Amino acid sequence: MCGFSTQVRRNALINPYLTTVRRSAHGNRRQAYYGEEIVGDDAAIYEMDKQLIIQNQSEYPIYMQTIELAGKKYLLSVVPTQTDKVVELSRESV
Amino acid sequence: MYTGVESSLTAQMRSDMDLVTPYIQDFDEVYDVNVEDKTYRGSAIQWTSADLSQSMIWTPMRSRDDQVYMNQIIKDHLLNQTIQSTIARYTWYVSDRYIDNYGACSRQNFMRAFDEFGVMILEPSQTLNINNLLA
Repeated sequence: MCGFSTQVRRNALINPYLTTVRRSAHGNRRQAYYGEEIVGDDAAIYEMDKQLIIQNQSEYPIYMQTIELAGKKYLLSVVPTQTDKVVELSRESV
Repeated sequence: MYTGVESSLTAQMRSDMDLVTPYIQDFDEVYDVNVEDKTYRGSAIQWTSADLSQSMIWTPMRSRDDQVYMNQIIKDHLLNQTIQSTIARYTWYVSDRYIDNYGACSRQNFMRAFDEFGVMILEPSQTLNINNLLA
């Protein structure tokens, strides 16, 4: 299920109102599954040893939904429109 | 049926999403569109309407086709005033799984996790443990 937890992790990276409280990276052997050797945007989960915990740090509810479009699966997170925070991401490769 | 007590804002959000989501899911074609109203921040993309009233931040590390695809969805929906005004009240953050890759887990497990997640509303300061969710 790390494919889905990674999708959640990536959403928490781009949504400035979601914070990752706890995350475990994949080991080198699995890292390749998560693409392009990008550092830090995957999330491994395994029983209680490797967990992914996210938190809403805004003062508003955050709506999250999985949707399928044209055979692809997306995870949306939606917050009431605000302009006080944006995320800037850059790629760091190993 | 929803259970529990929700704030008015949460209830409004749920109602709005119920309205908008079917329109998004109905769209199934890809067009090439003008991307002049997008601004780029690092490798992420923020879609912003000309009057700055609407925006969507798009995940990095995706193909240009996918960027165009979602922007076209929004543009089409802007033709509908009700949908337009609903979309404008929110900022949307979208992530997909790695294209053509289910990660280290099986496709079956991914599909189950994806389906079981469904819809979730996180209230302010609420945490979500994905392990518990998918146990």
